[in-house]
Amino acid sequence: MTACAAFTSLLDDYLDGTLPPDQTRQVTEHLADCAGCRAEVTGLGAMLAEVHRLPLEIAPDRDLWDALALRLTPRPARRGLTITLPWWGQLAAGLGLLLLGAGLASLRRAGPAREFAREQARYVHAAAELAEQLAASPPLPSTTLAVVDRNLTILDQAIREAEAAVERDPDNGELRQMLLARYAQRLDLLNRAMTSQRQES
Amino acid sequence: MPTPWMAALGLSLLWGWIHRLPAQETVRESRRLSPGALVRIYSPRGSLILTAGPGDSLTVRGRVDSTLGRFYLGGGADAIKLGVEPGGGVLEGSADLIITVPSGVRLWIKSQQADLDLTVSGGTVEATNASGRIRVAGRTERVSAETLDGNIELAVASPLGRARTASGTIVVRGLIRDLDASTVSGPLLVGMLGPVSRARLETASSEIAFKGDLEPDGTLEAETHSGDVELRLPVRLAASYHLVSYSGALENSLVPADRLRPGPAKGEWSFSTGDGRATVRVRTFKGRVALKVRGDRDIE
Repeated sequence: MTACAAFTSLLDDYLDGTLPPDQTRQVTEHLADCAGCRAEVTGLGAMLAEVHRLPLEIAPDRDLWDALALRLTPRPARRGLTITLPWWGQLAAGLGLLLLGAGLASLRRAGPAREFAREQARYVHAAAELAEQLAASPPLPSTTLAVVDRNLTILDQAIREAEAAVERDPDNGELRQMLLARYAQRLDLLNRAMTSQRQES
Repeated sequence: MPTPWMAALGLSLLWGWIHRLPAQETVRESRRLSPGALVRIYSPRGSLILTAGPGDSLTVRGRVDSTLGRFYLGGGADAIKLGVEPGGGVLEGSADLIITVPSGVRLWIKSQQADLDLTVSGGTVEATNASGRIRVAGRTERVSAETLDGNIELAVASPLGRARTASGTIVVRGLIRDLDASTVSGPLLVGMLGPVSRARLETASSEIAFKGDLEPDGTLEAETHSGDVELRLPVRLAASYHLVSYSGALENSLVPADRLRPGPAKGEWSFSTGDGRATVRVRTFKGRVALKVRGDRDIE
């Protein structure tokens, strides 16, 4: 148990191939004898591979967005009201910022940080799936769109601030929890907007 | 003095105005219901006033603009559905319905923009809206209210309650022993008449205020990004406190200052009172956390 604890913190770097040779040898020898750590490495390897496979930006095909823009953008009001960035546009922008800004690689080192990276990866996947569903959905009514837009702006600002703080203070678990809570709120808001949209249509 | 041609003009204007008003369907229906029956209601716009009380029948009175759709009612004594079937296209016009149901029914109500005013007695309530207000009063076994933009007010006695809105305000009064309430930008105000076993309160940018008490093993969690958090709790509460305000301030008049212990992370404080069986957790990125003594007059 104690031996495993000593090796657990090295597994990330072991998989990345950044451990010094003597530590690499020690970990290899330990893995040969320890089924638990082998399973951990297998799971970790799959997760890291998944994270590495994530694109830096998630944006649907250009034509799809163009078509979607035509359907989702509110019709110009007669008095020429300003139209804000549509919510799906913010979603795409948010995802880009998330992936570029959070620095997944730097946050998956220690145990809790690794768990955080997993959660972040789950969020990215969920948000990407939601974007696909949105692309296939009819437009939101302009009043609903305005509400969602306004609240997404608030959440995106909160996410940016929390991400910057996590970057400055990566060992602060409370900050990570706050950031995950905002991700969850953002997904929840989009899900509810989708539900509302289905009811309206 | 009105001349004949002026009278004719007035009459024609009146005629035109009357014909511009949407045609209305008058609703007056009644059905007998079994105890604990399921009642499903859909009314997209307008107002819905529902009252539960003694008796064994459901009654509906009201009017529905024909531009909005047509009234429907179907089902049997164990499960009934009623509401407005939209005519298709953009929703226009409104429906104003006044409904009475027997105590103990299970209510499922959906709307887009209607104001829902529900006075219940036993049974369960699940109300969903997009931009209308939801108000639930009375006693219920479980209450769930969800809207995107509307305000939510729960003035109920219930073991279990859930409220979610994005921009609206949530106000909870009465006593919900297990409460989950969340907004993005609307304030969240909770005043409980008795001890709760679990309360989870969340906003992104607005304040959270809680006045009440916890059961001996109860849990109170408040989480926000930039909103202030104010907790008014009894001075005798035996609880473990864990408070985090990353870049905000902590204001405490609940416990002696020498009990506060800074935690390992920035803006983190922990302390216990009594045997510390209850748990109070607060997390805010940049809001202010205020711990205050709950006075008897705080709960009304």
